Formats: sequence, structure tokens, C-alpha cells
Amino acid sequence: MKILKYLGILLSFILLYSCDKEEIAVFKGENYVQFSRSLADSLTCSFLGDPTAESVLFPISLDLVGKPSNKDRKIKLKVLDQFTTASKSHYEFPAEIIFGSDHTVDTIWLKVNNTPDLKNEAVKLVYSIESSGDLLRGEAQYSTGVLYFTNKIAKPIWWTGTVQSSYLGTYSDKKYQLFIDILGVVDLDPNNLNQVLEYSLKLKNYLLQEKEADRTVFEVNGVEMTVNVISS
Amino acid sequence: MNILYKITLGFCLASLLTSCYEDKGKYDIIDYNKINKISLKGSTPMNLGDMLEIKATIDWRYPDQDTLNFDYEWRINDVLISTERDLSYKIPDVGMSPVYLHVTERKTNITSRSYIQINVNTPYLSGWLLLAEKNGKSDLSYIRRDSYVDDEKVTHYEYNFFPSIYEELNSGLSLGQKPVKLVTNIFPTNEYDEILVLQKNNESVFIDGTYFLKGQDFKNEFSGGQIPGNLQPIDYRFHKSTAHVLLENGDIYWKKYQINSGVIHSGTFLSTPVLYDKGGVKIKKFIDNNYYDFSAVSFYDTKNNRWLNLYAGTSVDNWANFKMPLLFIAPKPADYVDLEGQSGYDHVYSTEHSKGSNFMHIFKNVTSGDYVMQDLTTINVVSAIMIFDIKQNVIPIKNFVNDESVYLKMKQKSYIFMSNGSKLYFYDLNTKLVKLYHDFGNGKIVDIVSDANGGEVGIATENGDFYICAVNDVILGKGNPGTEGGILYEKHDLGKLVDVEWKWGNWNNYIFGRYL
Repeated sequence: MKILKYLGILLSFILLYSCDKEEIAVFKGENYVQFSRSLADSLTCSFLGDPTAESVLFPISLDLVGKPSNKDRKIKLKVLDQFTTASKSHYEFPAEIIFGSDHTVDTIWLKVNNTPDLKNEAVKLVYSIESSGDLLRGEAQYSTGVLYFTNKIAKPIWWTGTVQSSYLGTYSDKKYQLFIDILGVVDLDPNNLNQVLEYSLKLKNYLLQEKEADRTVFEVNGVEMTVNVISS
Repeated sequence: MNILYKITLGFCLASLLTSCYEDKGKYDIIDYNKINKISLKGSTPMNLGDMLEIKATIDWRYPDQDTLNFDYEWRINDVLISTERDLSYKIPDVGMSPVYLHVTERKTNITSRSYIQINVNTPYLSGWLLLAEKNGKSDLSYIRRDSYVDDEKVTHYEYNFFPSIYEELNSGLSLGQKPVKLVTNIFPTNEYDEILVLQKNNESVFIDGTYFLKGQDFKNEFSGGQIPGNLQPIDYRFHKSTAHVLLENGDIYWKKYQINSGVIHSGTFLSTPVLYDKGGVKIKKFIDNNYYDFSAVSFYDTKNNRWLNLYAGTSVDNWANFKMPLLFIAPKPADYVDLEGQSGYDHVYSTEHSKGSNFMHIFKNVTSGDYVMQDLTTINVVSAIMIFDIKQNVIPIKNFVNDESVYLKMKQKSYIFMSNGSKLYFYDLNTKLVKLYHDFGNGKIVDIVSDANGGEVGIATENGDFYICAVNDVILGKGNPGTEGGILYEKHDLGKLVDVEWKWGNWNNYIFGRYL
């Protein structure tokens, strides 16, 4: 009879096993804001494409972690002076930084001034999100950003991986300056392989033409400048 | 408590037994007129536009009973196309698909089903395409060879001519004006082909090879629909992973596809032409080569007298459009005509002619007027064209050709056809003799083209005549092949013929050289 009791209890549990109310979790926490790019991926604002421009508006992307709101929300930014080499004359943040209503991503447009000293040396601006009444500071790694201002050549972030190994070859300041001079652009989209191919071929053709005209282009160390793209 | 357990247990056991119920179904045997077998016989494979005729032969259990008490439904892709006992239906699309016949006994509603696989081909799969200028307009005609077998099992061929087929199948739409060239070896997928009609005035256009319907305007292959310098395209190659176009000034533009096949009209040509050293190149046309066998866009630069090749495989890779150097494994003959910058010779003709392993060039010695044939054994190793053997000799055609002659080296055969005005000659590489095939009377021969397997050549004359001529040892061995059965078909008054090409129909026909 005892066996029967245990069996009865066991069967009751089995029958009740499927009866379970499953809660679908919804976001109930606070709303956070952070930069789209991590601290490890610094930004560079370059005047190389237009060295005579007085200033440019440089975009800094933001992501919302939380729910979009039906009203604009204020963001607080703080410049970390101890890590910053840029002066106030180099940049101007908007008077009020807003994360737009119904947005999940937004952009801060930072005004960067092309001051004469940028020709000699790049300066660095380090900034960080601070929690405000509307939005809290997000992940630490994504809540601080580094932006270099320069009118001096510097390796762009896309000159790496396939762009370097299969197309443009090893980076040098001289090659990048030539790239800018020949193509009239400062950037390329590393995911657009047709664009990468086209830009690489134009640089390759220029080097070929110069060599043909006995004006072979050399790197500063005396080695002939080449690109890696195999196509013609 | 004991009672509570018993009740709970009883309840649980009862719950577990809920699937046991009394079956009240009927199992009386229905004595219906069972269909033992349905046999379908039809007119498949068939051409698009033909009527599909399928006759149903049905074997009933009680054949003496009234077999009219049945409903018939014919379906393709679950779409009802007929309720007749036998099917007569015009299939709207090419391809393979099953046709189902559902036979339902009205009294019992019992249905039997059978199917037949049908294969609908384009009626214009392969054949001769003729591009002419007629009445001030471009005119595209098509010739198809049909066959039948007589009672004595002898195969007979007949040629069917489809005049102005583009206008005919595009509701009178004009093809354009000022025709330049046809390109037919374009296979976006393995199943079908496209045709490119190159014309002046920016009117070059792709045509669907299945039904000759208008496709993309060629100018849209360039960014903004603008061909650089508004120049005319004079030749084109599609190699599945790349496309190349030759413009009238000799510039070659190309585009690289990011995925293989089926994407022919995606992306645009790069804005930069292929750049060559030595002051660039001068090119009249791309050299004929089967790109499955010899993965390169090949051409002769008459500015610097050199043979050049751009790698163009059939799948996407980083070597696309690589300028392939010539790598000589074989020793060069003493009187070798330098393929990387010869002097003293005019380039006459080049072709790949043996599944990618042989390349032939013919040069004319400017001083002596002799014609030199160079036959190379080659392998395309992507990073280079390796040359394993070079045979070079003077061929005795000097007295049979002129500077306006056109040539055709038959693939995998030992004959080179050549023209001189209205006369068609052939040179036999084995006997080393030149022989007249036929004098077509009037009209300069402007094109000599082989069919898919080298059994026939098409001859086009400037004054609008077209001939299909047999190429086999029996015919070529006759005194005058043209008048002794060599001319299989002729058509006249076609306008000013500018180009003839073989329409392959699909990729497999192209790579296997099949005449289907």
C-alpha cells in the first residue's frame, strides 16, 4: 500500500509538471546611454582631406541601453582633463547634448577647430558620460571615448586586416598621404570591397605610371612603394 | 488519508486513460471500380509554345463498367489546368515540372493519382544568330537545325529560319541601330544564356536567351548609366566572376562580382580602365577562347605587338584581372616571333583551339609577306601562362589571302578556314595544303564561325548571304566541297551582315561543345 502511496504522489507530480506559468522578462530597469565604440577604438578627426577648412562637425555615436522615450533626454558629458591634451580652442561640444525622443541611437556633433598647431602635432580629447537624471552611464568600457584631432597624417583605423593584406599593403604615412592626394578621399569603407578594390587600383596605377615615367615612388626608407592588390 | 491517496491515484490513472475511447467507425468493404494503373504518354520533351498533349491510359478493376463516371483533374504545381480525360495544354514556362492527373470516382469520391515529368525547352536553345543592318536598323535573325529520323532510321536535318526574331518576340520593339557585334557566351546561371548586342549610339542591350526578350541596357553596367567618354563598346566578356568590356579607344574596363553566378547585372564596371605599361595598348577585339578551358581574357596589343592575358576564372578570387606574364618552359625557336614585343610582323589572327591547352597565333612577315603560324602548348596556372611547347612555321597561305581575309581555326580539328573576297579556302595542318572550299560568287566574306562541335561552319557575306557548310573529311576530300554537297543551307537578302555567332543555349553546351 505504501508503494501505491508513493506511486500516487509521483504520478501527481508528473501530471502537474507541465503546468507552469512562464514569465516573459521585460526590461524594467534604468535606462543607460553609452558610446557605440569602445574605449579601445579611439577616433581620429583629420583635416587631411581639406587641410584649409576652419572647422568640421565630427560625429560621435551613442547607443541607448533601455527603452526609447517619447521625450528628449539630456546627456551629461565630462572632459577628463588629466588625460586630455586638447585645449578649449580645439573643440566645442553642443550647448545641450540631447538623446532624441524615440531614438535608440543618436549622435553628438562635436565642432572641431582646425587650429595651426594641429599641423605639427595631434591632440587628444578624452571624454566620459556621466549619469544624469534622464540617462545613466552605461558600460564602463563604452562610457569613455578618445578622439584625436589632427592635421597631420596618421594611420586610419580601417587600414588593417584585408584592406592591408590584400589591397593597400603595409601602412606608411607617405603612402596614406599619396592615397589622399590621388583619390581625394580620406576614408574608405572596409566592408565595401568594390570600393576598396577601386581605390587600391587607382593607387597601384599611379605608382605604375610614375615608375614608367622614371619617377618611381619610394618610401622614406628607400624601398619602392607598392600595394598588395593583385588585380590590374 | 489512505482513502485520499486512493482517490488521487484513481484520478491520475483515469487521466492517463483519456485517449482510450470507443471506436464507432465503419469497416464495411466498398466495392468500387478500383484503378489498377494509369499510364500517361505525352509529347515531352517539348518546346515552349508547343501544345502539351498527354493521353491517359487507365486500367480499371471492372473495365466493363461505365468508366465515364469519373472526374479528371490535371494539375501543375497544384494549379488546375484541365478537367478533360486527355490533356491538351500550352505550357507557359520553360523548365522541368511534374504534371499530375487526379481521377476521382464520383460515386465513392475515391481518387487515384498519377504523374508524368515534363521538360519544356526553349525553342531557341541553340543555333545560328545573325546580326545585320537592314533598312537602317539592327536586325537579329535566328536559324535552328531540326532533325527527324525516317523509317530506315536515317537522321535528316532541316534548317528553320526565324527572321527579325527580336522584334517578333518583343511586340515590334526595335532592337536599335548601327549594329557592331554579338556576344553569345554569356551564362549567368548554368541553365540559360544571355545575348549582348553591341550597337553604336549607346543602344547596346542584353537579351534573354530563352525567349529573346529585351534585358538590361548595357550602359547601365556603368555607374550612373554613363559609359566613360561616351565611347562605344566593341567587345565584351562575362566569366562568371568578372566581366570585361573593350571600348572603341582600346580601354578595357572590368568589374568583379562578389559572389559567383546569377549576378551578371549587379554592380558596375570600375571607373578606372586596366592600365598597361609601354604607353598603353591598342586592341581590336578579345581573342576567342573558351573561358572554362582557358580562364583569361586574352587579346593582342597591336601598339606594342604583344599577347596579353588578364586572369578571369569562373569563381571569385583575388587574382581576378591579374596581368598574367608568359612563362616559357619550352625553348624558343631561332626565328621565334616574340609574343612580348615582336617587330617585323603584322598580327593576323589568334585563337585558343584545344580545350585551353593550345593557343595559335598567325603573323604576316612585313618584308616577305609570308604567314607564320605559332602554335603554343599552354597551361593557365593563374599566376602565369606557362608555355610548354612552341611550334612555329611558315604556312603556305600567302597566295590565297589578303589583308581583309577573315580566319577560323576549327577547335580540335586540323583545319584553318580563310577567306579571300567571296572565296572560302581551308588549310589542312596535316597535309599542309590549301584548298578552295567554294566561291560564293559575289559579296565579300565577313565572318566564318563554327557551330558547337565543329561539324558545320557559318559563312556570312557582306551583301547579306549566309551559308551553312559541312566540315567533315568526306566533304573536304571532294574536288569542290561547296558544289558537291558541302553547302547544307543558304539564306539571302539578310541586309548588311555584321556578325554571326553560335548561340550555345546553356553552360553545359558551351563547356562540352554540344550541339543541342
